[in-house]
Amino acid sequence: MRKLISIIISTTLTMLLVGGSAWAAKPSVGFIYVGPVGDGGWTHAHDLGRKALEEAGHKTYFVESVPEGSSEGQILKIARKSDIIFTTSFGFMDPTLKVSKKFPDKVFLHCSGFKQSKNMGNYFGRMYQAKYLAAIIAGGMSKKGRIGIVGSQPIPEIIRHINAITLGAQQSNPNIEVEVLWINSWFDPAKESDAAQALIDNGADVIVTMADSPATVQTSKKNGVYAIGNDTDMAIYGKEAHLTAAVWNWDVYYLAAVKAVENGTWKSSADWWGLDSGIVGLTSFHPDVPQSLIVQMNREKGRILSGTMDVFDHGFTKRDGTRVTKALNDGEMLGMMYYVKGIISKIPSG
Amino acid sequence: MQIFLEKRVNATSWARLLVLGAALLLVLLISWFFFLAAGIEPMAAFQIIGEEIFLTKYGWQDLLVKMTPLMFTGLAVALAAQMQQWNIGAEGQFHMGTFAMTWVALHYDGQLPDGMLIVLMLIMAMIGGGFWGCIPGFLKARFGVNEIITSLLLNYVAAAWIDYLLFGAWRDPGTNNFPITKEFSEAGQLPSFGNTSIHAGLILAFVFIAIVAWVLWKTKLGFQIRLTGDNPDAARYSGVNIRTLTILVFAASGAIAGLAGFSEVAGIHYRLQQNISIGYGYTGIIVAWLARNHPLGVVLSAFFMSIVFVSAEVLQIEFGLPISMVYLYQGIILFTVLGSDIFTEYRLRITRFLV
Repeated sequence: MRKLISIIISTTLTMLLVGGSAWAAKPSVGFIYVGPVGDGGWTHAHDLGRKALEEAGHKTYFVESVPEGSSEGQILKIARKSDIIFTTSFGFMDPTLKVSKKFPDKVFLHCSGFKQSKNMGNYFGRMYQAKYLAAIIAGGMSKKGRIGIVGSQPIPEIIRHINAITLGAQQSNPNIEVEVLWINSWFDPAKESDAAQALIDNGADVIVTMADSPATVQTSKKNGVYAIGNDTDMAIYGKEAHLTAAVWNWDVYYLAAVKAVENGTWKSSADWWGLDSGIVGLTSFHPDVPQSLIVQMNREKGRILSGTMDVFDHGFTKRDGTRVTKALNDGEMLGMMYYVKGIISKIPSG
Repeated sequence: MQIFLEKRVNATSWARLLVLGAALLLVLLISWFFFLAAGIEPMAAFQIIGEEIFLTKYGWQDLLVKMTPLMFTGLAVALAAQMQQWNIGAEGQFHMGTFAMTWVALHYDGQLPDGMLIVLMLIMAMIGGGFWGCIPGFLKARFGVNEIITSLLLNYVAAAWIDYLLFGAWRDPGTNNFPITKEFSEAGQLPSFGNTSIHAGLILAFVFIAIVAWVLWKTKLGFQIRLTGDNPDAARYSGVNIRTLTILVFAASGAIAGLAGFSEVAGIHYRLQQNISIGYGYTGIIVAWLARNHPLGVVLSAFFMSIVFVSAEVLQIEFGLPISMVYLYQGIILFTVLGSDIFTEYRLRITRFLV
């Protein structure tokens, strides 16, 4: 009899516990970062999104500085602890897919890639739209008519951004020249600073960085030229130089994606959110930026937001002189491997 | 009072074990204070690290996967060190191995009979790594150029060469033009064990450990290598061709490092991409040092380094420790273990009198 009672009690308790946890706890979320959370750029922006989830009551886990060549073990460990897993660098795509097959009940979301499965989706933002708008400011603020770009890795994403910057700068300064120097790295403050200095020495007076550290902003400040920050607000590293920054607001996406999983409405897809969602945007402007330039920028912004215009949908000329007349589709934008006219540099080994 | 180091008259294996045991105890003690300083309950930390690594299927899987490339690179460095040659270039030989095998995979995938492709890839990885190892070996043998400098600098050349290919000719347009090659078909992939990530590269590593151990202690060639390491003059007088031997050992060392690349690419990634090696070549130097350049010791020290790596990940995930703290912790562990090594050859003497 005592045995029976104890069985009943323990069964009830177990059911309460199991049943309770299913609806009481919010899904936990894990993040795999390619850089340190303190990089002041790409990973920092994702970590702000993670903190927003934490504030919304989700338990979060993360691993930082995960090497792209050896990430499977970390993804496995994070996946065991979390219900939803975000992997935030292109090189994590194949390992994420592999691990997602081992945890069919969990949701995996990979940033910037293209492989999907039943429980793995992709997400990214149309950063080229924010870069285009920032470049309108950059073009208008360049007195010498020359912009220097510190390129990170010569992959389509960054080439697309460089083209958007060139087209944007041409809006406010049709004869602008754009020079690009690649550092072949996402995060290397010393190389970023060297490249920025070389661009300034070559005559550029607005420097745009594609890399993750604020080194370019600091170097620009030292030389008394302007700079555009990358991924997060870099004004604190040199507000005298910082015109604005094209930034990621990942919290917008992370909160929505996690909510969808929580509500059971999530389905695997490839999301490429634009300026209208708020996932990308600009930070506040330098006091030197004239009102007329901001008005011009806002006009273009309005056209993008209303959907009447996008950066690559109304024709442009490639660097080699060929004319593109029809609007590019997403696939063409994602595989972009050429420069537009106005860029004086060449793509390395392209 | 004076404190000095005195050379041990006969350093026994027991003394070595004792010193190693003491070093590991010291590691635990330092960890205790480290965890306390980081605001983590030490006992809880030990327990969770232990459970995560040794009591879960994933923990073991991770340990063995991470250990595989370290066994190859550690063995590569250890083999050269048996002859008192310092191969700091395992990293570059790793990369040239991946280059050569990927070349075969990209050009001959689907054109060879069953099972031939993977064998050819293996041989090419050895040739690629071996060729890269030959260069410092030849320069040392022919011109007496310091092999530490040449083998180290060639690492950067190899990495730049891989980048050149990935950003140019080998870039696969099918993957949105990212700097990665096409994925190899199944003919170019090493089999994995069941549902795990552990692949046949692990077995290959044990095979090569056995081969190198056999050559070193059971063959004339191995005797010549060890003799040259212990006493080059004696070796020369007894008729050993040191120049040829140097080139040969460097080639073999490079070939084994190239196999590390083969095992990683064919066992895990199935394609060439950037950052495949996370410093395996350099960590191989630590592995060889800890193993006292003994092939069988390489197994143990690769296992130990793997634990150090994996526990770093556990610390991050379970306790939210920032990566800089984790690096600091790894540094302390390695410094303690490597530093204690001196006490196997020497002992501390404290005297009250001036000697």
